[in-house]
Amino acid sequence: MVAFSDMRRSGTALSRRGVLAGAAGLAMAGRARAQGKTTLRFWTSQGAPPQMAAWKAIFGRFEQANPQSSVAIELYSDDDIWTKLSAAFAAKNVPDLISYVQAYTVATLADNDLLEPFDDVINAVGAENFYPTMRDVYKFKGHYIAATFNNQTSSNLWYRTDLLTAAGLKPPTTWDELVVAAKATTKGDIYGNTLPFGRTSMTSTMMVNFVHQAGGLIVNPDGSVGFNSPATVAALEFLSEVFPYAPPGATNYSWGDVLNSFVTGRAAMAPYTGRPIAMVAAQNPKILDSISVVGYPYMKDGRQAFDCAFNSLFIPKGAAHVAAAKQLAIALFQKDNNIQFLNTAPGHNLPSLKTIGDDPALFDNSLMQKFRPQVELMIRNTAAARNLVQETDKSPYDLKAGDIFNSGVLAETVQDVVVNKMSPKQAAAKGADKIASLLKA
Amino acid sequence: MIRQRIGLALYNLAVWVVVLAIAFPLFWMLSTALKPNDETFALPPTLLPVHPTLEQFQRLLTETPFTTFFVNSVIVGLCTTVLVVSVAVLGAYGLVRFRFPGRELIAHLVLFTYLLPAVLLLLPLYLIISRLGLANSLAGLVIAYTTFALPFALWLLRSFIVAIPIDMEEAAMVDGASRMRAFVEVVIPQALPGIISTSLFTFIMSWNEYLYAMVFINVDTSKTLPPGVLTMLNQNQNVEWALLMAASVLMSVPVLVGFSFLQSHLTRGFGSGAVKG
Amino acid sequence: MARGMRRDQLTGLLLVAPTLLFFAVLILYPLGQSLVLSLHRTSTLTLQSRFVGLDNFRVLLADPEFTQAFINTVIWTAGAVVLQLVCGIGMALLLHGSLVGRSLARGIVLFPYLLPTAVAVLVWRWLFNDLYGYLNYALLAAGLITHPLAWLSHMPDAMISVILVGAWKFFPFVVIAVLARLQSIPDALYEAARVDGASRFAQFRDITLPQLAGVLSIVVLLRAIWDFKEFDLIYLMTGGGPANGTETLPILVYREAFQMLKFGRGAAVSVAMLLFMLLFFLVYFRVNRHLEATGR
Repeated sequence: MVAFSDMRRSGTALSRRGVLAGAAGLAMAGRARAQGKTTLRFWTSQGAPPQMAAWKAIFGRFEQANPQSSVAIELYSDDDIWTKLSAAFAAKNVPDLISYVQAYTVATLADNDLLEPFDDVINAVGAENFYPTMRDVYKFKGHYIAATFNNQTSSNLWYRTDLLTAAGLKPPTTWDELVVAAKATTKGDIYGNTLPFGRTSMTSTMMVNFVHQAGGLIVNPDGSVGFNSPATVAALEFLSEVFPYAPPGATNYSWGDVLNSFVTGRAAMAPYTGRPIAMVAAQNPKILDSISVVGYPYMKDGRQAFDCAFNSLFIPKGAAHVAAAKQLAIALFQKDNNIQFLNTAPGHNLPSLKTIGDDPALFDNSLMQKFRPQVELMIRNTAAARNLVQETDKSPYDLKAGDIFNSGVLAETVQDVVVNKMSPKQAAAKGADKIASLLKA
Repeated sequence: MIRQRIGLALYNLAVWVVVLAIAFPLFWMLSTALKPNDETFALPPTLLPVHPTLEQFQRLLTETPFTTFFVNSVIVGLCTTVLVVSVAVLGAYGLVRFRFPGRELIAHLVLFTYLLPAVLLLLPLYLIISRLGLANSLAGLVIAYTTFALPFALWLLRSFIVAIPIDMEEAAMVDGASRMRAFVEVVIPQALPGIISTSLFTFIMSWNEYLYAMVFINVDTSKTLPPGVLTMLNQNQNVEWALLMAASVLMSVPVLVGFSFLQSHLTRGFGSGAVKG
Repeated sequence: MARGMRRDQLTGLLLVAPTLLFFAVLILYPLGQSLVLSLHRTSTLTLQSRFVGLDNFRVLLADPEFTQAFINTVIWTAGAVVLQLVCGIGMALLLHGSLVGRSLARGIVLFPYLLPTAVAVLVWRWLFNDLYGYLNYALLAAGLITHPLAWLSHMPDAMISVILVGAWKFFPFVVIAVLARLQSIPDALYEAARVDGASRFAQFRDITLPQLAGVLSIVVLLRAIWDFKEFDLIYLMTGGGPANGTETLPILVYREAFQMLKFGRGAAVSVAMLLFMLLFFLVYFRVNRHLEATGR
């Protein structure tokens, strides 16, 4: 509000000097405030009304317990996180605590030595209490660099029980069955199966998992490129087989579009995290009784695999208030705070702490009750999930995972096949070359 | 005579059909904004809302920071306009009426900066602005916007001032007025149409800007409309078109109404100024 | 007299001083920084940089993505400018006649230009929407297409769609400019032509068009520069996709600098853009001057 009044005053003065004076005053006001009371700058991508309400309640409690601190929420979106992070680091103007950035991005920051050690937080919360994969995904050179605040997997297949039953089919467990089901349910206004085929982060996320599900890897444990393999070719062949049953715009699809097609009842099947539960309840309740979820089908001779976001919590190097930021991070793991935030999107945000996963309070919510078996299935799957930063137990921490992911090469390979009609073999080879050059840089 | 009338009627009909076709997206925006959420998913789509409602506008104003974005956009637009136009009027007058070393060079420089892509300056500008302590502030945006608005304003105003007959100034000065008084009493009133149309263009540019605003501002309290509304699109995950169209309407209508009142200025100013270059 | 001259010079410089200050600090200094960075390998994240000479440019010229982006930019610019010009002149001529509610019609036609790009993009993405878009529905209902078009998801449809939206958004600029000029063409010219028995078309060709030539040459120049640099509209419409189908140079700059975190490479692309524009600028002026000299 300081900003407004200052600027408004200079606006009425109608002079250039007025604006500059206002600007200088504004900057000084900011500094003065910072001296009296610590303002913790907290970045998050979760800014929809229910999430904002939860953040405010949680931070209100934190401010009451720590009267010398206040928390300012700053929003980013997944599309502009890189831009904002680079700008903040370059200008030495980083926030105190960052949430919801995905594991591969954290890897790039670690690679550039831009993270504060996070051991204090992990130990205060209780290292043993984390699901092991969710804790260790952020262990780097003997230190924790971040914590998994909560988790979600998009390696789920949401499906319409009514439409599959009408076609006389069971929920598919393999790719072949999925293609059959997609074909059978594509009718009239309904598209059988949505998948993201756009040059977007969801397409890349899904592609990593498809390669894993066919028994392959993007990068081998020895650090060589594993992408140019029969597994990648098989994944691409599956994608081009199932492509015709997706909505016509799928070659631009990312998270929102995939979700939208399923929630509004235009797709019989679609991959997603647990978010459809709350979305369908709010926007299209008439199909609420006919949706369910299974782990995403995999290749017949491949393996079951799940890919997770490992939504992180970390302190960037250069943060102004490291100690206070750690306190804030610890507070976010406190039971009531943690569960309040998880349940802003029931079934979408899944716990990273075992005690919370086992806590009956987590299911103290009508939607969570209704979808309890499905949510428990997703919690089990996230606990077994992997991410590009560490594709197998034997793989070292892949510091280039963020470069690979953000270069868009995985989604581009998919687009080469479904948009540019390149052969899967050729596309896999081209993608592998690009990944190799990224690893070399 | 009758044939002429029919011809005229046909001409009117044809032109209005074309004009309305151009306006169709705006009509569709308004129509969607008045629909309840589930009607946007109705098949077939309804041309006019079946259950018209102001629910989206109400949600926009109460549940989202839309009003904050709006006020910020107005502030940034006005400040940019005042800052840029006052600097540019002085600069353009200096460039047109005075001979001094480097004058030609400056004029060329103005044209040259016109060619700079905004992305080229993005990061260095951000560094400067945060060094000034203005990251995340509206003042920072105003400063960034001068980079593209100032060259444009200079160029526009220069052509207006060139068109003012120098005799009038000289006459004023012969009457004993100083150079500066001649500037204030003769040049400014003569250049007023130019100043108004330059101000309008500067305001539009600032009101519409997306890229700098997206990168420079992280906090909701200083976000402007374009990035603010587009983040709403991303954050809502499930794209709520009715809400977004309501935001679009509120974002456009006041400007459109304001500008239709000033339309003649826009056209006239533009015609006599920029285009004769 | 000499002292007067010097004082005059001083006043002039004083008037220009604020402009110069803004130019130096906010344009030239950052520009210089970008030029220097284009000769370095620089991480956007850490700003650590190493001098690499012209390496960034060498890599660019060998990179098919750069070539593709350049071609896309030319197609987009040419397509958008030509369409804006044709629609703009056509609309201006229509609006110049004796129309009922002329000023209302002019106001409506101006609307797209005044709309924030973000709004235009939102509205068109909603019209183009593959599941609920009104355009597909209307075309299907009219029997013009047999199944829904994926406006932004296939090539060349996506490029065509983006060009159409660009033309819709920016053609009013041409309308404004041409209308203003049309109003200042003396009626006497047309009367004389009518006396000579010239047809409507001949009047347009022999009077209107030559009178408009000056305006149009500036309008084309401005629109070409603006469209060449356009980022918001295309980025928000398609993000450069599908594949690299609508990825233009400004989007490539953004991707290199902020997604691949290679600021030096991004700076090199933007410097290349600048060079293209300078070249275009020079050729354009040369041609224009030539045309003027040969009496057009």
